Amino acid sequence: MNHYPDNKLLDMFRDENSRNYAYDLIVRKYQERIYWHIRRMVITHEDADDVTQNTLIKAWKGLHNFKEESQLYTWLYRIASNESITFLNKKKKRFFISMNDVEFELSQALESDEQYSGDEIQLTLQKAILTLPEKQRLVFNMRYYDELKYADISKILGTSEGALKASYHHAVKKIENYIKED
Amino acid sequence: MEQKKNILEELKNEAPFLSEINRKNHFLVPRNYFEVLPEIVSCKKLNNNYLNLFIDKLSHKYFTPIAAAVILFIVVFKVNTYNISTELTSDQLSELIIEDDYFEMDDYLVYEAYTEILEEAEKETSSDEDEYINYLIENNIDINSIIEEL
Repeated sequence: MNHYPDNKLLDMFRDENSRNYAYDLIVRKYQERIYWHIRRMVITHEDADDVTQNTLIKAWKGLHNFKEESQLYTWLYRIASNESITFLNKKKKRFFISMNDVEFELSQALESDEQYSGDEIQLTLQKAILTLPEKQRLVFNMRYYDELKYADISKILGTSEGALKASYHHAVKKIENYIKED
Repeated sequence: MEQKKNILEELKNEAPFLSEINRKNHFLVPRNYFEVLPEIVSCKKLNNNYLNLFIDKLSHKYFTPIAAAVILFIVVFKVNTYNISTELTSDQLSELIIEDDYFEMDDYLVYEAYTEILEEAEKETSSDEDEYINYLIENNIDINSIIEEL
């Protein structure tokens, strides 16, 4: 499917007559990237579906304030990252459990998830990623799976590139050690 | 492409074991999920718009008059309640005391009312005794003879 460039989509969005159509095109263009980013954070499809919908509705509400100082997809990634963290924190509070237990629960969900087709080494990799702190997990996923530049991750998370490089380096080392020990 | 090569190089240097693992996405989604999702978002967006529009209309057209009416009603109700409590006659008050188990009374008022009743009863009793004694004196009747006859 061919997609319009972002500036064209934003121009269409600013015109009230084509606003809904433009947003529909934006959703179709970026939904998969947003969904997979969220799915890697919350693990189950049901949760990822909820968080993705919330993200896209929030983006719809806030898009008229988007200043084009950053790229559209980094702005959407930012909303998706915040929504994922908020979701995980709510989950923690709702069940009065610590973040380590949430990660354990996610790890259990991954093992029994019918919507996951990875082999044993892939499962171990996912479990290793789940041992990372939330923000480090975001950094690792965006670099390792989404292949984003540090400059873009920096805009998404509001963290300096130097700190992101250090965070990614630590994450990679931790994951490799976890897999080797497993 | 250059970016992808850089990331792989970086990974090979930092974690050679990890760089050999296939990075393919192994999560699955239900069939046609990405065809349906834009429609779900579109519906939610519309509902959200209608809700916002409804709340906006409600707040501008209806909320202010409704709030004013409610406040007015509360004020009128309070004033009426206040008037009822201050303009009750003693009969209405008695009825209220008898009918309402939860009617609260001032203990001092109860004491005063009870004392008045006792004093009146005492007055009635003493006036009856005075009449009998006056009758006996006026008619020269000996009290001892009455006692003997009894």
